[in-house]
Amino acid sequence: VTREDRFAEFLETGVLPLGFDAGDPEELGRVRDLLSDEAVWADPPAGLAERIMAGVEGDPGASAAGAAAAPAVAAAPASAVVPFAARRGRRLALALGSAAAILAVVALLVLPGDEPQGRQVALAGTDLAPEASATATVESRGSGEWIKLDVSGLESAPPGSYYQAWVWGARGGVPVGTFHLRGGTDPVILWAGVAIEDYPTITVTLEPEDDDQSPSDKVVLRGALPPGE
Amino acid sequence: MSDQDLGSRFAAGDPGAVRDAYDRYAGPVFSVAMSCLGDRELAADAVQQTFVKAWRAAAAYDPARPLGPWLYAIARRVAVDVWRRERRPTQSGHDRETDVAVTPLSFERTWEAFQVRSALQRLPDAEREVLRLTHYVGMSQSEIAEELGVPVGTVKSRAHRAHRRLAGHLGHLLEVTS
Repeated sequence: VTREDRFAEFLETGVLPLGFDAGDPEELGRVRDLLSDEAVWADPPAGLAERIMAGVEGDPGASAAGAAAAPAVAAAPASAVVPFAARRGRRLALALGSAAAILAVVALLVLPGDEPQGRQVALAGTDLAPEASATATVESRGSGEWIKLDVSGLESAPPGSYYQAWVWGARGGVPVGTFHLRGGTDPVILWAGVAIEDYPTITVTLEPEDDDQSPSDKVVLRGALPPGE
Repeated sequence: MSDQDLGSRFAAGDPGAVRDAYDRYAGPVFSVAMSCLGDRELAADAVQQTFVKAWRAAAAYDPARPLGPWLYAIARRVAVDVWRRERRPTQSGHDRETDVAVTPLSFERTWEAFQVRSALQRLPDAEREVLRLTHYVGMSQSEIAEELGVPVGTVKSRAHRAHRRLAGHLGHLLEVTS
């Protein structure tokens, strides 16, 4: 019987086996207690990764510092980061809903033969859709940001679900349109009422048809406007 | 991808490495923040600040050293800062928040939370679920069997394997305590 066997027995039963000489029982007890602590089981909220990536990809200063292997840089002050929940009790879904209601002009249209000369964002498939890719062409127009999404390799959304496109920035995410691809892969036209410079990350999520307006954690495509564009 | 490869990409300023680091360490970082703050929204705030600060300090990170403990150190510092912020009365005169942890937990306790969460993440899903139902939910083995739709014997063997594997992953903590 090894010391690890006895440690395993302790973790399982909470009783220190006879002859177990692995040190401070109080410390071992703390480790076992953690197994019943919410802290080690709770998961970060959905959408947090996208929010972080939006901050990272929209931060050319930091990116440049890293790419150039600059000397050590001090950590940024906490105030430079917009809190995930700036006010207690304000839920992400509410924030997204408000932002959508106030700022986003959401539309899903197909506009054949209307090719813009806009900026392009490459979106790569995630582990959920490794074969998928897309190119988003973004053009600022009088009524908002016109986004054409050319998707390839993405399966049609299963019945009871749909795809939703989002733009993400330091203030959070804004939904810019939904689609399903069940009738082919025509370019998908999206409209955003927020400036792409402020919301440089674009994601596509797979959403269930329910009344939850917050983004699911099933991100199938992700890309970001290159810094400085 | 090895932790060293990930650390090298991180230090080189590859934004994709932030996403990979998040996938690997967001759970343990969130555990540290939850341990300190006891509040999911504040903990999420701390996780966001941790990864953004880490990104901005990427050039200072030495990829020869493990990435996890470096992120842990940033996370704990951020969580304590969030705790201090929340304990201050607001500028508009509101009472200070009272539902955050009374005091930030010790370095040992938060480091143990980081380690335990990291070890749990390395378990097969089925074994981790048995541990969650046993320790966190507080179910008996027969209740778990019913919940999962498997024989009690299967639960017993999974639980035994899970605790054995967990003890192996936490062996370094055992060295520290011995």
